[in-house]
Amino acid sequence: MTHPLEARAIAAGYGKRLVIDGLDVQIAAGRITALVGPNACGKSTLLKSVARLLPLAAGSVLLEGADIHAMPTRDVARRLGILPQSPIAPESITVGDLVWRGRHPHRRFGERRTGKDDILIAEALAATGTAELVDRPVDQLSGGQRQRVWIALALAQDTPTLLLDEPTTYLDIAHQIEVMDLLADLNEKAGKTIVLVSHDLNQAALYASTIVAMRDGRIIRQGPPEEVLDARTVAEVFGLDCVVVPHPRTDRPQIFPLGRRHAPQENS
Amino acid sequence: MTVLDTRATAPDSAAAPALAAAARLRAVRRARHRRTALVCAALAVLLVAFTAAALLIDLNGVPASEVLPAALGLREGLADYLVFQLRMPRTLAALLAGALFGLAGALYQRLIRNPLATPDIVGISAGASAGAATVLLLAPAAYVVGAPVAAIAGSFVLVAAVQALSWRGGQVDTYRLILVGIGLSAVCVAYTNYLFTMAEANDLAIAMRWTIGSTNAADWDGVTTLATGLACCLPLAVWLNRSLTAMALGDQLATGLGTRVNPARVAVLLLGAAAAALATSVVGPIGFVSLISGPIAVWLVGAERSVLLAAPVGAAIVIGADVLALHAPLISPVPTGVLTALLGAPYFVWLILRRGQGAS
Ligand SMILES: Nc1ncnc2c1ncn2[C@@H]1O[C@H](COP(=O)(O)OP(=O)(O)OP(=O)(O)O)[C@@H](O)[C@H]1O
Ligand SMILES: [Mg+2]
Repeated sequence: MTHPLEARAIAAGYGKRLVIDGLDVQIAAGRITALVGPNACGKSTLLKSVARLLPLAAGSVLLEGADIHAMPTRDVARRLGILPQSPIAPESITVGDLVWRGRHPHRRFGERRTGKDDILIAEALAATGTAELVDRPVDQLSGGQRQRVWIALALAQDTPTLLLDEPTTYLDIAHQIEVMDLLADLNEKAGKTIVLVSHDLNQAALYASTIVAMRDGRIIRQGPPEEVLDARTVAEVFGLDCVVVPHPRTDRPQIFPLGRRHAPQENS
Repeated sequence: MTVLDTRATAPDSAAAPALAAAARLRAVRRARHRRTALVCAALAVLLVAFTAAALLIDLNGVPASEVLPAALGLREGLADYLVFQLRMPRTLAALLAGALFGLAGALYQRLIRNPLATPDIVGISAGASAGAATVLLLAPAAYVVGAPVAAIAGSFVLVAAVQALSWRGGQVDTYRLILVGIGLSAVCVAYTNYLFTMAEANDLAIAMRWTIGSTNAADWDGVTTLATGLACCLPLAVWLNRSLTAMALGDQLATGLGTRVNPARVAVLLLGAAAAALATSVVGPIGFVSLISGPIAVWLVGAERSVLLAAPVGAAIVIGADVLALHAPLISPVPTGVLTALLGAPYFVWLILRRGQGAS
């Protein structure tokens, strides 16, 4: 079976400095994959290079089995959506207009926006709970509202594979779960393949079927949460002591970190 | 889908806000269409009025009824000389050059995302002037075709130089771009002035347009150049506007949405430079038109449609300034560029002061 997205021995970085070098990864079709790892370990770099936003210094990326760099970039954009970590909105653009940009790869030259587009935009907005913000300028929204509008843009692009760099940063706990539920729905009902970067190991364990743990530009471990998320891996990847207990409802592993103050008494 | 039935069926919590938002989006979209149509109609009226004024005011005894036939080249004598030989080319040159300046400025402003970054401010018009003046003074025989070509060549050299010098860490630094542009602009002006010191009195009168910008010396050859230029540049601008719309979201997201960012950027830089250069080769660097047309167009119809609308806005500004330059009491006649400078310079200063106060 071909994977929706596959990196073979890729190297990428900024200027002469390579952040990742000789990295292989295969993204499972129709699954949610969570990319975790400490700050600056190269998660965003990996995401950008597999989405052809960053040139490869070596190796190749296959999208649905074909070399991504050999495909017309618009065809790529109809199959693969990416939401970068900190996107910028044009000055004083409204929410509706911003999300409309997500339809860009589907529009042919000279094609105008129609009522059908309005409905698609509105659905993307409603799915992220931002429908009532439709007329507001994006630069007047709260960080969390803005984040959800960006996710709406990625939804409007309507691609079978979706890469999201920290989609739940800035969100309150309820909205974090709402976004994760939305992604799980998209994954389940529409069969979308989703890759997301997350700093919340517990949410990653609850929602992802595969965890990819990175450190220093390399993949340390990957697999189902039950296999990957144990105290040893967390210590190896993050240098953090923790206790791992099963979630009372789902049995997925949940992490309880042990700081300097807690480690000696409870862990020895 | 049934729109009004949400109460009869169980209210679907996701559908109701989506329908309301879709209705809102449709209303906004229609209002925008109406506004664009209205703005286009108003601009058309304005352009016709200015054109009529340019042709009709102060006719030196030619009856007004003779102007239209004379404008089409159907009369002889004074009417032909005044209307067909003098006023028509001047008027058309003002309209076409204004459109090219407006287009060039809006393309650059949208690409660089800075209202200050227009071809005249970043030195590209000065490069074009230097190119055109070189041909006029060193190879006057090749002037008709040579001047536009040399102007485009000069502008491309300036684009390359300004880009190379303002490149920093893999990106163009806007602040540097403007400073470097002002510096290189001064070099080009000095070179053009140096050429003038060697010119003969006859050529000098024509060449003076490349210091301040004026429609005085425009002839039918110039009009042909401008019309050809606009006919080539407008469709390309329509085509590139699509990429520009995506690129307003930043390079990464634009790439993610299927835009070939680097080729599009080079194309926009060259297209804007060529448009400004063609206009400059005929009427000289009429100042500030490319600076003010874009923001006026954005204000009229919003950013996404502004690039194309900047062309008629630029045309209206130059023809309006031209009528004033010829006929305004007390000051007339002055070169058109003097009037646009009077209009544009305060805005330019205001932009810089506002930037200085802001967080950036
Ligand atoms: N645009 C850039 N130019 C130069 N270096 C960069 C750039 N972006 C990232 N880096 C460097 O590359 C390395 C990896 O960065 P990356 O953004 O991939 O980390 P990350 O794992 O996404 O971290 P975070 O969790 O903080 O988002 C870091 O050392 C960072 O400093
Ligand atoms: Mg990151």
